[in-house]
Amino acid sequence: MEQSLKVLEELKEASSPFPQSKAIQAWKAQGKKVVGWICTYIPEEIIEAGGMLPIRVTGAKAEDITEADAYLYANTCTFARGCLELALRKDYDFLDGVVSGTSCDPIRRLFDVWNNYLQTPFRHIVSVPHKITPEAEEFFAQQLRHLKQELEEFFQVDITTDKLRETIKLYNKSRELFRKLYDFRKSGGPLISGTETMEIIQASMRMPRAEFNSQLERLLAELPQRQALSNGDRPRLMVVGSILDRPEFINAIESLGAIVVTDELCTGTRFWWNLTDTTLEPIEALAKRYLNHPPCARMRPFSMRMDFVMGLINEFKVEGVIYEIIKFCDVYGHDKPVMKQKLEDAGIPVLELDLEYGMGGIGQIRTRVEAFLEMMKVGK
Amino acid sequence: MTVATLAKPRIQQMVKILENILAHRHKNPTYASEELYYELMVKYYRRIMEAVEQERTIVGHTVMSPLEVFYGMGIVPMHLESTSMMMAILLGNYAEFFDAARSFGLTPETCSAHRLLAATVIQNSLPRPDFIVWTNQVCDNTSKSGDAILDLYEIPGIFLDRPYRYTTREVEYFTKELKRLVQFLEEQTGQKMDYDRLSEAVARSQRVTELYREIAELRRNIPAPARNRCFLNSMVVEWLYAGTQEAVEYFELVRDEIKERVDKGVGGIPEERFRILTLFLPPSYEWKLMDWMEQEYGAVSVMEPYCSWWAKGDMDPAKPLESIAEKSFYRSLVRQMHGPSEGIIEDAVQAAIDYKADGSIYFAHIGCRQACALIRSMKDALKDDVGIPMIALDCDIIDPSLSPGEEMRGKLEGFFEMLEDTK
Ligand code: SF4
Ligand code: SF4
Repeated sequence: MEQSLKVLEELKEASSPFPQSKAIQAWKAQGKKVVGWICTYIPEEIIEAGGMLPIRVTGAKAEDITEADAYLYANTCTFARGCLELALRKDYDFLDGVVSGTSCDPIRRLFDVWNNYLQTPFRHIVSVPHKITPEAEEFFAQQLRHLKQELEEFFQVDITTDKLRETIKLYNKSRELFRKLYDFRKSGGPLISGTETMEIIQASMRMPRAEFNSQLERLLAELPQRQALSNGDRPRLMVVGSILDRPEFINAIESLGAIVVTDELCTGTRFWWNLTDTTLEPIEALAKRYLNHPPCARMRPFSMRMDFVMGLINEFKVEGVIYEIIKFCDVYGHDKPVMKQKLEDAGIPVLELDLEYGMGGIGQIRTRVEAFLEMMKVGK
Repeated sequence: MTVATLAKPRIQQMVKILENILAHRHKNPTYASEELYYELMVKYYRRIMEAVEQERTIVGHTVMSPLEVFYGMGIVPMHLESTSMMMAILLGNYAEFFDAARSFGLTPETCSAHRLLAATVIQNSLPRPDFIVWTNQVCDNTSKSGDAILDLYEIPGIFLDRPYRYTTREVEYFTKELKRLVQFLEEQTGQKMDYDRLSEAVARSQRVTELYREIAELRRNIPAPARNRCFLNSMVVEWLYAGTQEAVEYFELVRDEIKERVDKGVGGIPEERFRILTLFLPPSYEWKLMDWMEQEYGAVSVMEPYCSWWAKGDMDPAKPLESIAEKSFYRSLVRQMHGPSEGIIEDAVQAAIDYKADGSIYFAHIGCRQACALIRSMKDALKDDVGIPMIALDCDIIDPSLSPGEEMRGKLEGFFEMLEDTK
């Protein structure tokens, strides 16, 4: 049993309950606005620079989807339906705005349905290119300028260049801290677990960033005093695939003796990996940063994603990969056969898990992971 | 070019079967346009077969790729989804293909059109293209399929990124994508784009657009002058032949046939009872369902807002690439499937009013996230704004095991009875 981290407990406290955490409630109590974003291709910095609190919209805790099924067909991924479920149950009524991207079919249709049936005051969708070229970066910058303008007009705020520069620094700071946090997982004796890492990242998405940064700095100072969580005897795993924001899922894996040392998730590395260039004009810099962050499976070519995964495997000394796909998630589903083959060719065993986002099924996962760990042991 | 083992016999077999169907049609003539449809199918697949035999350059492309550019380059296009689908339909080997896709590792939830495509590639049943062009029109499956094909065939390819909204900026971006495409094709073939030929193809595409609109205008008449098959055949012809003289001739023939019926005051079927708005696509293995609706219930599809509706917009042969880019934002299927929902919902509501629809059928293809996601929004809009009912018919676009025709017919019977009662 690992020693609990005091700061982590504080972070969890501030960022709960879900979705309107204490930190969000305190923010709203000051008469300030909150804008939800749905996809990691939406720059939080632009929202923050307008004086609004950017928070991530997810469907966590929508265990049973009942209302959303009437509005989004049952063949839509459970993440999109989970988000809608909470919105229909009025759990997101505290939002003053919602910003989405054309990330994948379920997400753009979620936005359509949100737009057709919900009254969130500000609603906007950004067209996100599917490839990275100079033209795509320029196009995306235009899209972000449009978002900025819409936010300014709707909320009657000025998103100045200086403000943008300031928030870019603030968010870059988080990313540097996240990198330090992940660095503690690289050694044979990681100081922080995959479960805890996910809890920390989750907290960053539902509290003011400046406050989060100082807490994370304290946590990083606390960490070196901690005992290693493994003597090199726990299999080092990485989780890749569709959105996953349930620390319980990672915990189910880790409680079986493995340790999750890194991930290729939009709630993990893909969220924080690269910095925004502070020397460029802010919107141009954000367009570059967000478009070039480690690719979601929606981006072309697939080789970019594959290279990133292979890079992580080497950097974090990963011994096995869990490829999880939320049912009806086409983009990650399509990548799976080719990625699995390439990983296995490179000698990395892969466990495929088909999941329902936010739903139970932990017991079944445990059985599959247990068998996988056994298989890894035999293969060693 | 390496010719894969199964590809040659399979494409030859497809052509043979299509020739037999055509011969049967000639012996038992119905509408001239239906015969021409089969002639065009034979011609299309025969051209691919000959390209395989003669080792000519084939470009594999996904749905809604800019055909005018391929015809302008003088290369043989092979519509990847249509070819694999036609292969499964004609050879009747769905099970074999779906098994192959499963063994490859695609989840069963993946759109069956793309599982089939992957299977024909894995099995080397599909003629191996020299390179592929694929796009995000009209869904995630289309945009993801290309990755695996490139990997499996080890061929080059180019992905075209079509943005979301119809604005000047987005058209400009997509025009740049098309410029990249021309550069890619020139590099791959060692030939230069023939811009005169491209402009001619654009002019013919514009002509087809005008004919589509003229036909849509004629179809407002009561009784409905077109048979249900007509929109399906027309859609496929446009998918395979956009920018060609064959397409122009086909649509002129369809227009003439419809006009003749309008002038005579007769319908496409003897007795029209229900005017139906068809939303999305009937399963490809069960187009007969559309015949059955006509024969048993006098139910005619008066308009198909997804498949037959072209919004405002025109092509200018003097600006070929800009025009092709712009067409991607107003043409049928793409505007509706790959844009904000307001577009398709407004189109459907307007069509229900203009075409005096009594009810609507939404084909809920289980593999299609984006089409199904709008079922409720559409149902509410048609009910609130026009007062017509809509049935969502669960099915699969290709896999017959999921929703047999019998089951769909049963559900439709109930729907038509309900319509009858409310008349
Ligand atoms: S889980 Fe997949 S389909 Fe669902 S929102 Fe994420 S990327 Fe899209
Ligand atoms: S049916 Fe839907 S998911 Fe399948 S290829 Fe067509 S648009 Fe894409």
